[in-house]
Amino acid sequence: MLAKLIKYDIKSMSRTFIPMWVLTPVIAIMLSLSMRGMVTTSRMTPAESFVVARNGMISMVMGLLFLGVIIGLVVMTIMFIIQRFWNGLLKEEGYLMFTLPVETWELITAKGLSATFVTCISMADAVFACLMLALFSAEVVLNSLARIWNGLMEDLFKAGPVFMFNLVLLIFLVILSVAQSIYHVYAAMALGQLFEGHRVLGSCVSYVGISIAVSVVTNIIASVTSWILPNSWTYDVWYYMNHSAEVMGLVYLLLMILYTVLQIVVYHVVTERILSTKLNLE
Amino acid sequence: MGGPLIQCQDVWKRYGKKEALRGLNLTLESGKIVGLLGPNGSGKTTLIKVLNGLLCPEHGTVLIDGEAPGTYTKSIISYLPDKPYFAGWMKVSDLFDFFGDFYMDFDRERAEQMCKALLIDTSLKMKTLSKGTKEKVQLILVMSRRAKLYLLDEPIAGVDPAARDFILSTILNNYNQDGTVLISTHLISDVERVLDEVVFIQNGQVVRQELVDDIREKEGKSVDELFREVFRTIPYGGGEW
Repeated sequence: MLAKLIKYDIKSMSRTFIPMWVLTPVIAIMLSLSMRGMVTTSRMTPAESFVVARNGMISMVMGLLFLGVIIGLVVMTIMFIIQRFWNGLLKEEGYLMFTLPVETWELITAKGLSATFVTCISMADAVFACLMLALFSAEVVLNSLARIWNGLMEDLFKAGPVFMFNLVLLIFLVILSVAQSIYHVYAAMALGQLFEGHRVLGSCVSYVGISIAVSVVTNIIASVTSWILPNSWTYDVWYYMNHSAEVMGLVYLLLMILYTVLQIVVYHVVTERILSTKLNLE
Repeated sequence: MGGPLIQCQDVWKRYGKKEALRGLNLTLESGKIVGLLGPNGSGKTTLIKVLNGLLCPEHGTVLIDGEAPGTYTKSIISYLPDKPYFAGWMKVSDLFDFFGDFYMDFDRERAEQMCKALLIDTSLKMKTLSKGTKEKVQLILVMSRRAKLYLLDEPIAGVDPAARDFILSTILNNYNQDGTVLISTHLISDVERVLDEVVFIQNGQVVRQELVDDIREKEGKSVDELFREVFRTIPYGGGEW
């Protein structure tokens, strides 16, 4: 049943997001191409200057358009996360979803996974668009970018397996952080629906409340961790002289992954318990 | 499973300070069309939502076919809410796929036949349909299931008399004869002819539960007349005017 729920969630979001995901890199390429004509020299004829000025105008419009599309993508993604949960479970559509013969955790997991998927794809799309912006830009820019890229690749090949593993863990942590932020919003909305007649306000207050609580807990954990583990803030130079910084990074990454997973589990359990025992579809 | 299909014991549900259900007790058997009758605000919709699991009561026991509201009870209940609940982007055919995916007892062929008979184009999106057509699609989906319990919340409220006849005939011709249909309404005269039993609800409590034939035989009245008698409102505190 979970796979079926995810299928319908993905279907509902694809009609909105696919055009946006296609549009973003296309606008980036157009902006990049328009900027090519902006290279000026001191010995230009008036006609050439006019062309450069015209190209400059086009580039400015394309730049604004690109900025608009990127902002649109970010806003749409945030709206999608909130709307799919709020309208899909806590408003009229909830009458349909909560009368399906599925468990509440499946409804929440389906929403969480599809929202994480959409957010990650949107992030990857924005990075891809920036890459397109660079690849199609003027040769001078392209050459310097190529130099930076080659340097990075060389460093990567020289780096040990721990560094590569850290890189993979870092990407995994980013994905988990996206899921954690989404589940944070879900828990706030689930708590908000308990505030009869003031559900939106209740959700906002819950979001802020949870954020403060998490911030306090995070600070406590960070303090405890810094006492136990050597770190740069306490100038544990002796440690870095004797141990690899990569191993240190690995330890911190694993701890952060553990903490993020813990947060996701807590948010999920809170949301599931509220919607299972205190569901209030008035 | 045997035993009563619906069992509610001392069920309480509050909205803030307002008590919507106040120690409600109800037992219903299978194989009947039952009218859940009561004035506005008497607790009909709340009771239906509690039976569905859309609302969690603060106190009391609710059993459907011997089980508390959950995955099993949802698989045997076909629910028609009092408002449209489908996403506007979905086509009618998407909804058929959706119901087919989640409900084992959904009869797609029957649903398509009903749409064809009513000239409803299944390739159209829900948001492009008129209010009346949306309601018809919703009813078709609900009645195309071979459910044990149909919970129909105000199915004829806000529609013209011709549409009421269509809705009632759709219910009568399509419900699972072994199951029970619970119809909540305050438009008694329209549904009276299809009911086997009535449950009168007032201030969140069942005040009367009787077979329609018994009411006619014992009281010599129609259900509509009895309803007016039971729920008569006294204007201006009983004073003449």
